[in-house]
Amino acid sequence: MTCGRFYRPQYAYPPAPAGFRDEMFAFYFDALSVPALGQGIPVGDPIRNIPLQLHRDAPFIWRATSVLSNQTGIGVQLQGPSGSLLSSDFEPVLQSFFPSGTLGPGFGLVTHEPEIECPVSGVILITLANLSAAPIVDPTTKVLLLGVKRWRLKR
Amino acid sequence: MDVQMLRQADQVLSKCGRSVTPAGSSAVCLERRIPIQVVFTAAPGSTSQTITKEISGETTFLLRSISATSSAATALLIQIQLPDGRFLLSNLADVLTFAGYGSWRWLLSEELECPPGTKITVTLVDQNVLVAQPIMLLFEGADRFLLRSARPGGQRLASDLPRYRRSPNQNIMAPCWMAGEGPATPAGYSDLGFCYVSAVFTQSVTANDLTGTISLPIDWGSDFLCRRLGFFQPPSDVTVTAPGVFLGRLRDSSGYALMDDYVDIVGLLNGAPLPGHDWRIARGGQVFLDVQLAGATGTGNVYLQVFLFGVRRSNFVRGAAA
Repeated sequence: MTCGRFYRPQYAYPPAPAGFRDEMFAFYFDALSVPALGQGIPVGDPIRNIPLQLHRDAPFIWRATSVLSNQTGIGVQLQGPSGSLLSSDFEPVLQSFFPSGTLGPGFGLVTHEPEIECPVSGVILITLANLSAAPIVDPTTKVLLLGVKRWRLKR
Repeated sequence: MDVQMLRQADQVLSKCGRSVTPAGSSAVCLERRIPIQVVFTAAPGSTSQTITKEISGETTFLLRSISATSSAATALLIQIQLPDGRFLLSNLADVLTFAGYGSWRWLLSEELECPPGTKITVTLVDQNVLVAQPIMLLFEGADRFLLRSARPGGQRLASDLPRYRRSPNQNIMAPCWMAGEGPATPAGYSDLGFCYVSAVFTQSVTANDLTGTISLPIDWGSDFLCRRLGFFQPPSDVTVTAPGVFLGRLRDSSGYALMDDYVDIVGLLNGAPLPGHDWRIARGGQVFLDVQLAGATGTGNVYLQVFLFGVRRSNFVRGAAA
């Protein structure tokens, strides 16, 4: 039977596999922790492969992303820890990383379906591009990666 | 808490949202919210505050969501240490990115048990000392009372049968995951979320021909299952007095057309999920968008970009040796 997805809830993910326990966790990156996120971007000169370092304590199951920027002309391309790009080109932040209709405080999240498994100490690469016609000066770009840390239960 | 009141609640509460308990016992969850309110005055003596709230009461509090009030002027960083000792965030995070309220509250995918006596610790840092910064956080959930009950608990009774049975005629309003028929990856295949992005399409407002075709080639390595559409209209040239409307028709290289006529793609289909089932485009195929610009005035160019959100499906396991 085919079911419509209009009613599909977000985060309808399977429980942790046997022998593991999931704990909700969010990675947050901004210009304080990753200075390149606050760097000006000239036209036609992307800042490539900014590393977003994950923790080394447990694998991270990446389920959603939110990118908040004070500049509307910023485009983003993400690369998962396995080396796979998540888009064929730059996606405008306003188009792809804000859920539809959210421009108020407390932004929701854009989900990844299916979830992306990130190994311990994985690195997610983000490339920022200037999609506008004028140089971007003093951007404040903040990246929130939401998911769960998957802990192995002691035997 | 009055035991008689709890027993009455046990009798009248529906099964919706209840914890599953062993036979002979039941759980009564009474809604509870724990507020934390902080104000940073203009030019505060300290730019950071740490607030600790102990879980009071006589039973375990189930934390289910966190709300935060804020405004566009809010410039605060937040970090939360949960009662089990772990931090919710990797760093101090912008409150605007963290959570809002209503539909934008922070939802925990699994409720967190907070026994009485444990603590929630919130650290806030003021990033704009020129203005006062009030904020209120609300930790929402329920107090769970476990009690022995005459109710059957885990026993199977006819009254415990679901109202809607699994059959082709089941509850049509139920979400597909509830019926176990979500868009799971079939055995032997591997899905990776992906977005195909078109080149920016340029259309001159004064051209004689106001039509064109945008194509998005699909890689040879994997099929693409499109689940959501996106259309982005970058700012038009300043000489364009009215950018008009892009009408469009989507089709793919197999001959399948998504619609029978041109529609306002940005106004009607931007962000639209594809109902029914995935739009599968075979590897090596192409997606075409025939566009027609209508109602634009002035001179110069208007622009359009197309996004196809979905998954790449490969029939091998990623990362496996060839």
